[in-house]
Amino acid sequence: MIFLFTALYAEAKPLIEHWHLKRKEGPIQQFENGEITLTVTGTGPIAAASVGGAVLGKNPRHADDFLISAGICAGLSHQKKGSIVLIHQLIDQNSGRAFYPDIIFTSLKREETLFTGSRVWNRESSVADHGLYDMEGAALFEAGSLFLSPHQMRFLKTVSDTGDTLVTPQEVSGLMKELIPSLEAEIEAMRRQCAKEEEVLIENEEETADLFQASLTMRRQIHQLLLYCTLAGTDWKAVIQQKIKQGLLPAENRSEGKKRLEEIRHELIG
Amino acid sequence: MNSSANFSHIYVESEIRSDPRTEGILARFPDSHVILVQRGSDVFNRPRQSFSAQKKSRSLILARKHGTLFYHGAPVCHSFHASRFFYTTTAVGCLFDCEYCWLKGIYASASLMIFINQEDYFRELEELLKDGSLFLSLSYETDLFAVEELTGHIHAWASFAREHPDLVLEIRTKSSRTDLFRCFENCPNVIVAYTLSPQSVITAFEHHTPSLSKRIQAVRKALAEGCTVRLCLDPLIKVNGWRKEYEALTDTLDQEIDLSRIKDVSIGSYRQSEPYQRRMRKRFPYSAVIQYPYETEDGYCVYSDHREIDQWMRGLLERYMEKEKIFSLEDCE
Repeated sequence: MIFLFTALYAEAKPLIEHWHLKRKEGPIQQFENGEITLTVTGTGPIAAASVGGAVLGKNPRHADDFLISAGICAGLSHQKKGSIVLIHQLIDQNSGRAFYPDIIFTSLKREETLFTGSRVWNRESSVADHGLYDMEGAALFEAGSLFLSPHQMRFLKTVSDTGDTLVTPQEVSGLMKELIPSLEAEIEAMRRQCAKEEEVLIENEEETADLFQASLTMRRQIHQLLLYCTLAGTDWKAVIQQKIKQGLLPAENRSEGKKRLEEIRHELIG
Repeated sequence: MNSSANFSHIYVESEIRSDPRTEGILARFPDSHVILVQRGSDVFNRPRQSFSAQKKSRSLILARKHGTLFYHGAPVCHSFHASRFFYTTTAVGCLFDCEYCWLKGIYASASLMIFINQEDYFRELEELLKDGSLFLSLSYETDLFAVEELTGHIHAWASFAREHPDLVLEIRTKSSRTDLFRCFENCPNVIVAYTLSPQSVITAFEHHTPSLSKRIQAVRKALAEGCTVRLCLDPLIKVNGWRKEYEALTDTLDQEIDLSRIKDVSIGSYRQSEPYQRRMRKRFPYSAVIQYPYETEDGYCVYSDHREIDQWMRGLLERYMEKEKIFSLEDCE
């Protein structure tokens, strides 16, 4: 699942239209299409952390899930309006804590630090002489860290102002529309970054364990042995079949099962 | 330096940003993103990191090492009869990718963290040496040969060892580079320790490391240039037909290397602290060497027949060299 987050509806609107997302019932403003769930958190770090935590905590997590936060921000060093920037460090202005998403694959060259505060930034506020400013990023990362790894979170920003002008909802939506191609490229990058490895399947594990009248502990031992043999390319099934042909399996009781397991363990791994 | 070293992101502690050593390292990577951080450990020790994902594109962390600089050697490490046995880490993380490496159990990060404050190590070590000679292993948590271009640590340690004959230094490596031996001139107390494995083990589990033949060439060159050389047939890994594989390895060593000139050989079958093994099993579900059904003995995961294996290996080596030169873990207890 792709978890997209924006703070404002005006940021979400062009994304909803682009991916044909449908409104989901519930107290949180969410839109989805089966593959993407877009959540509008509301403004500020508390809204971002609480809504982010509620959304990620409610859904079952998978290794290939990822979060992308997309939205506008202020530029602290006169960055050009509409500049698209990937965030490699998020600093919570309130606590001073810093967070680092892993950027393994990306299509973007420009990266910066994002400062997150509780108040709207203006030129008089002293934050830093570089980087970007928003009111949600670090809080969403901190909440997301409870559920996701640093390589499963990405923060993408577009510069809307430099603290000296107000931005209208129409301008916000316009900037976000321009962000969509980069967002699509970053979704692809995150798909690669979070690709799930194929699971190792041990065929007929339960049935095999039953042949030994196995207890829970023995089942764990059997699992580890069969997993190793599968990974090492050792033909454990042939050894089991041979024992069945010889009439040594199924074991009549657990004690005999233990003896057989030890014999088979010896045959398989010496 | 290892060819895979190309760091897209370099995290630098603010307090060492203007240090010339930091500048020197950063100059090698003009295209990398440099991120100033308060502590390197804030990045290295983040919760829920994925080693497998990170190893696709490693990051570099430049830091100052604080707190303990020298640690007492663990009981599962060879002390070679030294009465005072320490190890230290001037870098953490490795550019090689050995599936069985204990670093993958201790740390969640695939990043390479380099500590640049060598002078603090030397100052503290001089204090330790006041109490008598000691054996110090340098590269349990990295392969210093592979990162010498970045760190210059080998040159620095060799100079220090030259001035402190009471110190015996061991630098363990799987590298095949041969251009560093000159810095060990007049340093009989620096031991270059080569970890050697059968080629089948290298191919299966020691990713991005030089082949056996390249490592053997490096051993020959090291001996030719007068270095003190140790061979480490450790960890011994059970692969299909492992006895034949290790017999072939010792035959090859006998044919290719003048074993009488080797200082000593350490042997030891795979062993891992149980909590690290548990973590590694979770992190690397597809690794045969990690998923092997080891037995737990005194808190360590070992082969059920590890004593017999070590004895067998010892017997094998005794065909080629004096038994006094062969060290197994039991000799070090």
